Amino acid sequence: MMVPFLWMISTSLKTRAEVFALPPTLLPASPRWENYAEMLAALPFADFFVNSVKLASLNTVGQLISCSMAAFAFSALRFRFRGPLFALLLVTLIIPFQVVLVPNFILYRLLPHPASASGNWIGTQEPLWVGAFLGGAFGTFLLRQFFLAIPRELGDAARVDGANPWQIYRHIYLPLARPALATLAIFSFMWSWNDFIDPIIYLRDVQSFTLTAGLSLFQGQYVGKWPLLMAGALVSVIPMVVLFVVAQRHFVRGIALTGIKG
Amino acid sequence: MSVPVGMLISLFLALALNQTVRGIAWIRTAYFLPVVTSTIAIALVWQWIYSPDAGLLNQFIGLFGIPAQKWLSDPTLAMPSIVAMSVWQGLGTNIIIFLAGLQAIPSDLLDAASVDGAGARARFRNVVLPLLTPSIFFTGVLSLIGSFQVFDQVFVLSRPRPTDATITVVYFIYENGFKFFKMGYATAASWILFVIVAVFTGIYFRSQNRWVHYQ
Repeated sequence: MMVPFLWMISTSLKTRAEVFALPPTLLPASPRWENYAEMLAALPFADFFVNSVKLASLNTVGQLISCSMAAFAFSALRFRFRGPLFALLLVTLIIPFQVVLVPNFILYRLLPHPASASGNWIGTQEPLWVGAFLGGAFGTFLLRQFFLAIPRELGDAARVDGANPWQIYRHIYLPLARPALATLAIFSFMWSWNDFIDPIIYLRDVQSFTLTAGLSLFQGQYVGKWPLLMAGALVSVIPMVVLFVVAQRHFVRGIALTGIKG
Repeated sequence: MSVPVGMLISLFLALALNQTVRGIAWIRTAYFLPVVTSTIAIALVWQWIYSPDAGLLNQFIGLFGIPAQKWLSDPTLAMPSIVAMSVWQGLGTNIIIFLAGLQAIPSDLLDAASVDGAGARARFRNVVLPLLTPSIFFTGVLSLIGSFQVFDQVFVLSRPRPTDATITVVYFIYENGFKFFKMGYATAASWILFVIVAVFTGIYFRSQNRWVHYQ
């Protein structure tokens, strides 16, 4: 199970001769750390890393804010068409995002952008995170289930004491939903970090690439240079591994709950 | 194809991981790591493992005197190779769901079966398996739908571009929409993808009552 990971680490520290040695050696004679320096010099990997962190963080924050607000409205407030609107949201949960790739692209091509060379959103990073602030079916559904388990009496009591909906949301629902929020945060971060098809569709300048898009570019340019490629792969994998080890509980609960993977 | 293979292996592994052995937490972590890491990085490693000249897999089968294979460029082997990687990556997800299902089985049912003289095989066949059907059903739907959405691993493993043997619906949408700029054509394919996913979801949910046992 771990063989591919160990092989990745081992290869990333080998010399070119060792990589093609017959029979293959388990460990390099002496670790060749220069592979990492060469990998970092080959493409702007530092930029890729910063871009990935930035986009993943923005997606996480956006999803937490927008989904928790929508979930609060769907579970604690009463308004017209609440039922049909929620049903509509659930329908979008069934549609794979790949189905709307082209319509989304066309939409972003129509949106004007002041700082972009094309004049629209294509070629900017905006399509990769702005949507996260506009809600999402998965997060809203997850949090609504959690909010529904919170006794209505808590909110009612606060209302009697003069709290407005914002205060009820902020001081009662959000603190109680911390485990669900943690699960959503980790999943949003992971999806954005591991996303590949959106970055290669929307990003044009190499400097704006994420790690996944950068790795694929790297793969095309350094065919057969396995130590460098493995070093790049390892650098892109480590943050998720660390996050997973730290927050394993939330990952496992999220997967068991939804079965959804990045 | 990846659905039945992946489900069988992960059911087997979940049964094994459900035991209480020392270091089990580490073993579980090992299975879940591929789930959380990016498919692009994983596929890169597998491309190296499948590499025709000095790849690990060819070296390994060489020990048994089997000649080197072109795992990714041979049309008959390319898809099974990609499937094998996807199964490996998806194991963790299925295992978590199966483990949750296994741990929800009340131990008094198993004890009662033992008292009645049921052996390990009979217990599995008549108690564990029926109670696990909701989990099997759930992972089945998810894996099936997921297999129609494969893109990343095909992109990396079938470079420069997939042949007819390895192209997937999503790759087709990507290539036509964003490489050839035939957006209308790509959207038509998107509709087909949507219909496929909707139909499979529908079939699964209709057949659910027939063979899924809830406690």
